[in-house]
Amino acid sequence: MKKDIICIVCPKGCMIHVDYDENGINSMEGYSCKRGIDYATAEILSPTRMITSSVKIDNAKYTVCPVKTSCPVNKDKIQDVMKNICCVQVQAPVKQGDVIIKDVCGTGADIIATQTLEEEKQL
Amino acid sequence: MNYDICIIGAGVVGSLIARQLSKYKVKIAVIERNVDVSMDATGANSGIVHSGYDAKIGTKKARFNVEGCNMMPALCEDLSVKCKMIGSFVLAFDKDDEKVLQQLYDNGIKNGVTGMAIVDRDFILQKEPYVNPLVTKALYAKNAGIVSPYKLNIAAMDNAIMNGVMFLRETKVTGIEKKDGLFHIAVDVTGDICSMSKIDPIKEEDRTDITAKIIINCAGAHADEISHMAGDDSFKIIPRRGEYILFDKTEGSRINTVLFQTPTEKGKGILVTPTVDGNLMIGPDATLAQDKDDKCTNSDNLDYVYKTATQSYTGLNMKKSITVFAGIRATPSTSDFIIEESSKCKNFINVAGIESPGLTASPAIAVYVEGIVRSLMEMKEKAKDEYTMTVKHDKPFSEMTNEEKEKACSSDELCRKIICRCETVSEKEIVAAIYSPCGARTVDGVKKRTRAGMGRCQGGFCSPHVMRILSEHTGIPVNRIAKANANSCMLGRYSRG
Amino acid sequence: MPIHACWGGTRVVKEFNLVIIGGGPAGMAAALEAYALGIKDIAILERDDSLGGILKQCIHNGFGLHVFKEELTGPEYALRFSEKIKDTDITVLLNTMVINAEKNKTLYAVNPDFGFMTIKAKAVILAMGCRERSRGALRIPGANVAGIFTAGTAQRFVNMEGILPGTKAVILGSGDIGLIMARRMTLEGIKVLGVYEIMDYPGGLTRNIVQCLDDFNIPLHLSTTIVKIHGIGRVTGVTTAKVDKNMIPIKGTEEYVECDTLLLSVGLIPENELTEQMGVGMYQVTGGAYVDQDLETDTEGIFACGNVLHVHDLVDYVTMEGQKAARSAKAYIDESMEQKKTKPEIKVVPGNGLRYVLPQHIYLKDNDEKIRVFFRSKARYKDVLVRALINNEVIAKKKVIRLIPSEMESVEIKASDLYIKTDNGINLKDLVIEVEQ
Repeated sequence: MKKDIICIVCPKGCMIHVDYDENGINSMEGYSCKRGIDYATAEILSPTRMITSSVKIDNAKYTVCPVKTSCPVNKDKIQDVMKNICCVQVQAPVKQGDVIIKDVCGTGADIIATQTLEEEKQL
Repeated sequence: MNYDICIIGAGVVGSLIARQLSKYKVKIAVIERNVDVSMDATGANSGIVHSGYDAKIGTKKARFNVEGCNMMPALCEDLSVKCKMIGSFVLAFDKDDEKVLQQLYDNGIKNGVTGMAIVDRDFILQKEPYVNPLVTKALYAKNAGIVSPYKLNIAAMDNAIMNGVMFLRETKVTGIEKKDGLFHIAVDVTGDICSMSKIDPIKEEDRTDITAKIIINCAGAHADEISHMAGDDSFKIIPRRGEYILFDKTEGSRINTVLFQTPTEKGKGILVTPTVDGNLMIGPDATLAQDKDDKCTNSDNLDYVYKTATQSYTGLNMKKSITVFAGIRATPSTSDFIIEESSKCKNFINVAGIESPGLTASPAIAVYVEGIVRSLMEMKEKAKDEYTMTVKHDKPFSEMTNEEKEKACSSDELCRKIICRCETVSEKEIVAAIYSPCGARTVDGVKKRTRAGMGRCQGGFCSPHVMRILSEHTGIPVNRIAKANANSCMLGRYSRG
Repeated sequence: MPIHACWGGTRVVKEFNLVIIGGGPAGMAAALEAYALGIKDIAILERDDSLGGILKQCIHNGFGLHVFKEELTGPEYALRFSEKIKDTDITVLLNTMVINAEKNKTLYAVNPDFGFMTIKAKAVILAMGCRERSRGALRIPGANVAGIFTAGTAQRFVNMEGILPGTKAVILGSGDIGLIMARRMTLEGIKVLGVYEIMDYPGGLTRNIVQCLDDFNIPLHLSTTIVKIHGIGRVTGVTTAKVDKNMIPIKGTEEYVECDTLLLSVGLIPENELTEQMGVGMYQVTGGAYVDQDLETDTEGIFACGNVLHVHDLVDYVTMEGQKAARSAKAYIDESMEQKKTKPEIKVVPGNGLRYVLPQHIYLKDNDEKIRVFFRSKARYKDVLVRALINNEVIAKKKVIRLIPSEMESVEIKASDLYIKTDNGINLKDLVIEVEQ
């Protein structure tokens, strides 16, 4: 199989052509540095992404609190992770860095708060 | 609910008539299909107080234009609405144009217009340095000006409601039947904004089994359909669209007068005018609308408006345009205003085909219609302390001096929260707009009353805040807050339930 | 909180050495740098209820690679500054709207705690950021309906208020906020039907095209724009059309796309109304103030930084600019800044291939100061040399692998070089920055 990957490691944006099969990568061209090789390899074998989203929060000035995965997770897991994020509900106060979900969907990544939201007195 | 008088349509004409009649001991309802006043022709109007030289002598247009123009400043004073009699020019660029100026002048004299003069190039350019220097002469009308059409409309309805008029919003007339001399009016409820709002005075019984002794048809572009329901097909309304481009306030400071082009067989030209709030506006063109409610703008038409405006005014900077909009004029098949009791249906008064100069004429029309109603029904005036013909508004925060701002802020906490950056609108003004007699229920309603969202960022910054305030005070959930009517929800669902 | 004078019962007059208007990334960086340099009595005036500016709604990651050498989300990046500010005695006035400003650095502001305030400053740093271009500025014809959002307003609704704009969306403009919102909305279950870009290349970063569009199979339509918005009440669809080289829609290429939401990501405008009220000179191309190498405007003691000065691609650069403005303000307050009015001054102008330069003028000094001139190109270039010329002599050069309008670049110039090449400030010629032909 062949795949063209635009490298996003730096602003140069190299187009890397990869030839691969179920056993792995056979050949690669178009890259201009090692970081490009690493990126393309990961994109073929196990592409990962950071997920940023928000969770429902009670007693804060906003109804949602922003969160992120503590490390990139497998691309295939994005939808599952989102489902989990949509279900949880937290209570203010929340501090940036608080773990909201531990080891989300068995990815090894935690969902952590990226904002500090104080408890607001409800009227 | 039994009413003495039902007015159909809450544009500037319907609202001023409601106000005019509200001093009598009669039960009045204004039935409006939209959620607010001023949502059709009045809302997209040039806002010009015409002096009255161009309407054909002897027509209702001519009569009510001149009368209305003379009444406008005092009426606006009473209603705390800004009206600036800044004068107008009709610009001529060649001998043919100049001939037309003379005709307009002569016609104006016949119509009873005062304060006109044919002026030369120097006079024009001294007053308006950005007029195309190829200008040769102009008809100057001192007795012309600008007014905010929707502010006038809102204030008129506020006043009417203060005097006990029932304003039935989101209520559309679907049929009129006359039984034993009494009109039975069938209506549909067109939206749920009022029923969601906890501060709305409309009760269900107010709009069930509606009867009226007199109907006044002020339904704008749809007046022929309403008239048809009453059995009168004597006229048709032809919807003609006009498109406008509005510019930033930075541009409005360079123009002082209303600038018309000389009318030709092709049309009336495009006007360039400051607005009472200090913006610059150009428009309108005139195209036949397929649909009476099709208020879409079109790129060809906007191009035409711009290009034609540049022929008379050199100061346009398209980078400073902040919005475009279109309105539908209710052009009557009879070519003159129709203001009379229907010959086919007793006690049914048509106030139809009120196209330009309808806004200028509206104060005079209201008084004239009052006369028609009095000839049909005996009405007793309320005691002096039972009604008012004036509306008082606090000065907008943006127009206060520093000392006034200081004072306002020290006495009122809500003044200290500025919601709209571009137009410097405080939370106090937005809350006041919601609780005013004809209160705002929508984002556009707040915008028209307070100018929040009217500025250069067009609500990019303030709309979330305006929606929050609307929601807090009306009880309508934030995600159900509408821009205009109920079918125009600003947002979708909550993402996390 | 220092209130220096109070009289007449309600009158609040505050005096500060340095007032920073805007508590976003530029303002926070400027405040902290000024504090670190020892400026006493610093105030930040912020219109929102917390510091952070637009970063608070940019919950995606990718911020801070230059400043912190790690990838942070917007709120995290903002917290790095706002938490530090808490530990200082910098006066932070929240919910504070500056409503008027005068050339003599008197500001009038309103806030819930103090009401109407008169604020006097020795030096002012403008850090108000920018706003988004609206539909009206573009004059997209069609229906005047709900469902049309600037990308940033939609971002605030989704990321802070937790409310989605609609169910089926089209995005006009491929700026980064638009791309980020394409992904964000998709993850929230909104169908993003496509991104339409009038130019023949995308406006945003390549990584955002890959991660926000390609990952979710969202099509990017280049050389295509929206020519009409349809709907009654709410958007029901848009008509798109291909455009020719002059960006004029081509008749016959129209396509109808059914949607209930339209996001506009079509450019940012520095928010300079206060700047203009203060009588500060403006530079047409950037929409920001006309500044020298110290980021000082043509009005003494008023400095500008961040997106209010010119729109940046990366927040890291905004931070650095804020810090630089603070250093200049420090010199001004200490009166250690050289008297500029007596110094010879040259203009910096964009030459071949460039749209703008910043600073737009430089005061000549015979020292080893290094002056960084920022610029943006008009078009796309590959492997080009950008050079700085004065009196037809090249005084600096830089090789740029990829020069595109959406990515700001810079070149460094030695003050002493300028001094020498102008015959010690006598033979004043413009400094031209250009792409070598």
